[in-house]
Amino acid sequence: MLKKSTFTATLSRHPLDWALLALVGVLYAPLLWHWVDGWLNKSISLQHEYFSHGLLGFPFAAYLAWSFRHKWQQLPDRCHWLGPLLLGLGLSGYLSGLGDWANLSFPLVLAVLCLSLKGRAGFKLQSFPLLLVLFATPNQIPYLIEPYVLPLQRFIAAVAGFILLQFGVDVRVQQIYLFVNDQLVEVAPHCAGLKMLFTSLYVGLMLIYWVGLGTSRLRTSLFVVGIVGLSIAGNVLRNTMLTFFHGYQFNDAFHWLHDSWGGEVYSAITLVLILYLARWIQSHVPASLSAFEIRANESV
Amino acid sequence: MNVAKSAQIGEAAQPTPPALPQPRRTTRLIKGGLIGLLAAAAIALVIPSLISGQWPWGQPPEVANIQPVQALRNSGIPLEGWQLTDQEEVRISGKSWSAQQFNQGADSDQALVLLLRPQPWHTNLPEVEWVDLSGSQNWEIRHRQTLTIPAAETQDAVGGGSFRASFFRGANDQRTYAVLQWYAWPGGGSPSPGRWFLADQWHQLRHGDRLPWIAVSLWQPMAGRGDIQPLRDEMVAIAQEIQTTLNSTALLPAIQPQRN
Repeated sequence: MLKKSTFTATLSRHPLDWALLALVGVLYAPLLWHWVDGWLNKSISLQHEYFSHGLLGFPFAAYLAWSFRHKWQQLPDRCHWLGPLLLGLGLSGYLSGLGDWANLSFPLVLAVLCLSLKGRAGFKLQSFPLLLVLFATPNQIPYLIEPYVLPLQRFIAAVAGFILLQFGVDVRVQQIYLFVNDQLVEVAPHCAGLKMLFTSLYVGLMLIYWVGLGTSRLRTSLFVVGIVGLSIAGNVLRNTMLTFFHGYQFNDAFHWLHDSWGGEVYSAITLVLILYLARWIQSHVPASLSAFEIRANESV
Repeated sequence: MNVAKSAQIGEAAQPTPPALPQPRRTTRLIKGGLIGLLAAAAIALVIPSLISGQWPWGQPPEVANIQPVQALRNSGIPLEGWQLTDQEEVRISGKSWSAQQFNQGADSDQALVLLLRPQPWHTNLPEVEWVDLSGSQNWEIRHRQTLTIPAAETQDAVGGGSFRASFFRGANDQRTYAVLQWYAWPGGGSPSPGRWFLADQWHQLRHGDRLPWIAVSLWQPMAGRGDIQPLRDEMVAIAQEIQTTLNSTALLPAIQPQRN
């Protein structure tokens, strides 16, 4: 009984705020459900899969935004002129129903709400949750960067071929193609590990905030470099194994790693390693180089 | 786990300059306005979709009249002044192309190879066609340049427009070719998928359906490892003809569905 009356009390205290939240929910719940369904069932497109980290990111962003609500209420009400202006843009994107425009209208409308209710200060307060939402909103950027991934594909093919040579496998590397026993493996753009890289960077972003690395530029940059390196190394290993399996006709193993839950195992291992990297950086890397020099001088 | 909130991110900014607090009436007005607009959007989209059970994002836009485009795979296109000696559907890197071979007549040994890949389905996007071709031929690519080709003079208002194409020399151990390739779409073309994407977005906003595309790759054999510039004008003329033909046949129904 007590809980019910507290709820109705909150509702009556901020009726307009709750109405706004409810309306945003009505508008975007179907769209978000469509995204989640696509991520869980891999039913929309390869480009859509690039954003499956939203399954983690959206709940986290919602939790963060909710945890800011006391500071939010303390802010003075203010309406930034950009708010209503961008609302028109956001809603027309939503109503057009066209792929990217409807998708990107979600972070846009959320940003508009922040700007229109609490102005610039409100937007700044919620900037990190908004960023998380933006980076998990499906769009066509993975498609647009495909032509530029070619050097990475070549690099991965070359290193994978090199590794296989060290194990005595008869392999021939030609641009992005690997030939083992006359079996051809192509390192396609989608095999270049971009999806895992996007997911890793996104999880890295969440960790930077959660673990508190964000205060130090040295730690943050080292972490990002570490994530990129880990991602590329992991992908090289994955492509090496796939080429090996395909070359020696281990078709079940190939299918497991390429299409089935082998990919999930690979992702899980990568994310655990990133978590360890964050912990390691937090404990072994100083907040800045000057602190490092001071310590070095002290030990001398 | 330490939940250390990042100092820069979580803090509320100091209100600058010192401003009068917004009157409650204004706040209520703004919130009311927002509620009104969001409710209007909900009524416009959510309610009809709930009733019909169909959401706009569940049906991606389709190409109007995709059949003429798909049919190119089996038919190819004619070229004026050239005799078709062979046309067949080939698979390159797992994708279907129409491969045509032309000769300039029995007494000339000028030959031409024309590869066309029309989009197989509404949802296909131009992606790795050029990498597939150069990979399958194991080409060493030199002298790459992008040409802007104006529309042919006989072009009528429909589909008239200049297009861009990639021009280079592709050579392997057996043969050398001067290659001109681009993605053709109604009224334009470019070797870059990004340009098609922009044109497609613009087309979707105006017509609500998808812009069709056909990957065109034109090869002219040449003496090994020579200069491709002498072949440029001739190939550009042939490219203009190809673009005109495509615009007036396969790609035409996509932009003028009312015409019979």
